[in-house]
Amino acid sequence: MKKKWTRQMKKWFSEISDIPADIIMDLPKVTLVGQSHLSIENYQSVVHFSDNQLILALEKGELHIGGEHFVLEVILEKEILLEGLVKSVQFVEH
Amino acid sequence: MEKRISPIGGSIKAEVSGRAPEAFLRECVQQGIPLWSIQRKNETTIICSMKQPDPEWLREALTRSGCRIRILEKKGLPFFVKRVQGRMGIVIGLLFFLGILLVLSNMVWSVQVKGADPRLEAQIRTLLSKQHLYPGSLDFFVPNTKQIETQLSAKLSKVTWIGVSRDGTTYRVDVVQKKYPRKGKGAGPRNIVATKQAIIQKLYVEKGQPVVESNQFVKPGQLLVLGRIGDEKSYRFVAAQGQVIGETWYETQVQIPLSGRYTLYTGKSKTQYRLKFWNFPMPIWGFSNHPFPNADKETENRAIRFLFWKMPIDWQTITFREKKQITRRLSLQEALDEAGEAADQKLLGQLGPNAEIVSTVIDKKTVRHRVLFISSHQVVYENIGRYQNFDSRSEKAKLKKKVENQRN
Repeated sequence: MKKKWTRQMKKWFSEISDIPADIIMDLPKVTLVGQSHLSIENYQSVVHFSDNQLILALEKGELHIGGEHFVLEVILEKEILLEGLVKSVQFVEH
Repeated sequence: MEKRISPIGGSIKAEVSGRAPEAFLRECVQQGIPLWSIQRKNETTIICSMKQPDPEWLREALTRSGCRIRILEKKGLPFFVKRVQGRMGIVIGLLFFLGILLVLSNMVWSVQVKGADPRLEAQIRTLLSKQHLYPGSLDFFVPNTKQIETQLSAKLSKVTWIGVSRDGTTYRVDVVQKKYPRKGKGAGPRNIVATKQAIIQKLYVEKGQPVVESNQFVKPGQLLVLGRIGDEKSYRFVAAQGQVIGETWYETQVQIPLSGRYTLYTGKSKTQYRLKFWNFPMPIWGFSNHPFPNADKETENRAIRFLFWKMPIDWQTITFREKKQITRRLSLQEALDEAGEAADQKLLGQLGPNAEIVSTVIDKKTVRHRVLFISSHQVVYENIGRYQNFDSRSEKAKLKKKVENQRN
């Protein structure tokens, strides 16, 4: 109940202010540069990583990234940087 | 991306294998250990780089995630230090070598003296070594080339021009020696004539026939000593040699301010040595930046060299010379004395080396705007003779004519 209320609050705040939603609401921010660089902010954890697939756990659901020759350039607490040939980015609900 | 990781901490490249190596990644992220360049090798193995982890934590994290680790590479300072500790001898040797190279790079390797005869060269070399310039001396203690030049030319009288230049570790001293004409020998027949209006005081005649007497008044150009000996019938031409001291008179004007401000050096000085790294100075000796309330500051920079390169490190010598301002007030009598002396000095500066002032009389004195103007006249004893060559053949002919005329 309380969590839902906070969320409502945040949503309202992001609507009335100019601050981007991803900052206030902890939404994942996915930046794809061409097909080669992909950075994901506000992810939860790495579920699976292999040469052609990266699965990240988000606050709601999962993010599946498919492609080839994947290398994780950096993993930090809030940010992850992927390099390789990105072919698909897909949000998967539980 | 590796730039994000501080260079002081070490990092490792490792192979993590297990049923789910992602679990180990999660452990690391949770702990806040940065990871980079992660690659999947096969089903069970990933290769990753990470900051050097605490071994205790690493063991726990591995058991929690059910993985095993194999370290492939160790990078960074901590590992380097560890490796180096085993080879201390080599490191010390290397540092020693660099140190020697640094010292040798800043050494004066040779001093070349060109254009001087052996005696002068030896003299120059002793003078230079007094100023720390000799093969094997360190460059920081050598004064700059301009200073050496002035010092040398002040002390060497046989030299017309002296130039000091530096080319890396070699100093070059170029000398142009004075060439004196050979004295006496080869001087042809000559007379001595007067250069100035004067009354003859003394005659020192070594060779020749004096034609004037003491207390005689002479005019410029008048013959004083004849370059011929013997009478008009049997004679010989010689090069007249000698000094004719005459009494001469001069008038001099001098002005002296009755009060004035002067800046004097007190003679006290302090020297500061610094090493300057880029623009950041580090004092080595002498820490006070204002040792005197009133001082002149001289700064000299010497770049430290390493082999052929100038390093951004300077050896800086700063000399403070204390000075003080003095206001001087002179009474009229003091000013008169000083003016008289100044007039004598001024006159002596214009006269030849053996001139002597016999008396000074101040004729006129006026004070205008606190400046004393005097006009004085001086009686001087000085050499008034000047050699004048003559052609012996034409002189002979002239004499012949004269004798013939007398006969007729």
